[in-house]
Amino acid sequence: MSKNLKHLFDFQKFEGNSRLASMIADTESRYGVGMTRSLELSDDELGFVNAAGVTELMNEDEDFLELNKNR
Amino acid sequence: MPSKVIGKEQLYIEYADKVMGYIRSKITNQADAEDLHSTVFLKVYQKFDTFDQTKASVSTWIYTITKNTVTDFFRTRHVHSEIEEDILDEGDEYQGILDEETLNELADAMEKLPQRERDLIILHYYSGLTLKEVAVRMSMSYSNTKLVHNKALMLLRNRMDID
Repeated sequence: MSKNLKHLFDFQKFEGNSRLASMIADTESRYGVGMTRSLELSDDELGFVNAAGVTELMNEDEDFLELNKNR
Repeated sequence: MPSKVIGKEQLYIEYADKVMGYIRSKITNQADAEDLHSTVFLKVYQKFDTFDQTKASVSTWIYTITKNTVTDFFRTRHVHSEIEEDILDEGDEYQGILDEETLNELADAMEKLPQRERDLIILHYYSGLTLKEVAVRMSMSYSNTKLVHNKALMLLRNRMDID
């Protein structure tokens, strides 16, 4: 039974039975599993992350001036 | 016998998301996932003409190709995990249970489980936590977790047509 369950739940990751998906989402959200898995950024995405971890592209002129106006 | 025959052109439309969903459940790196996704469909198209849709399910066939492709990726990268090892070492004898009907049967049985048993089964068999990790998450002793696990398996076995 245990092996069959492993295979069935693995198959669920492919087939996506909606009732099982609902139960799984409910359980995983209550126990903080699944949602907390971090996704690796691709090399392209990493290029948009500055040292402060802000991911939005900055307009050099306007945003730079805005940031530095109070200095 | 499968009732729906699908054409080659329809394969990507119907299965692209399922293939990627499975791959992303195993592999977090986006670039690797996309490479594997392409590899899977390359294999599917190469083998499609020799696949007999009247004898086997297209869904199970594509799932098997996807799973084996991910397995090969792990083997190449020497990445191991508890659940993956168990599935890696087995042959194809389980394929007979991998269909929509059995998943519906599992859903029926899971809905009838008490919440605690249902959570345990999901955390262990879907989320991939060891029973020790489940015990910590569910604030139970390890020995009690094993008892609840055995009880859940017994309840599922009684309600399903598989053993």
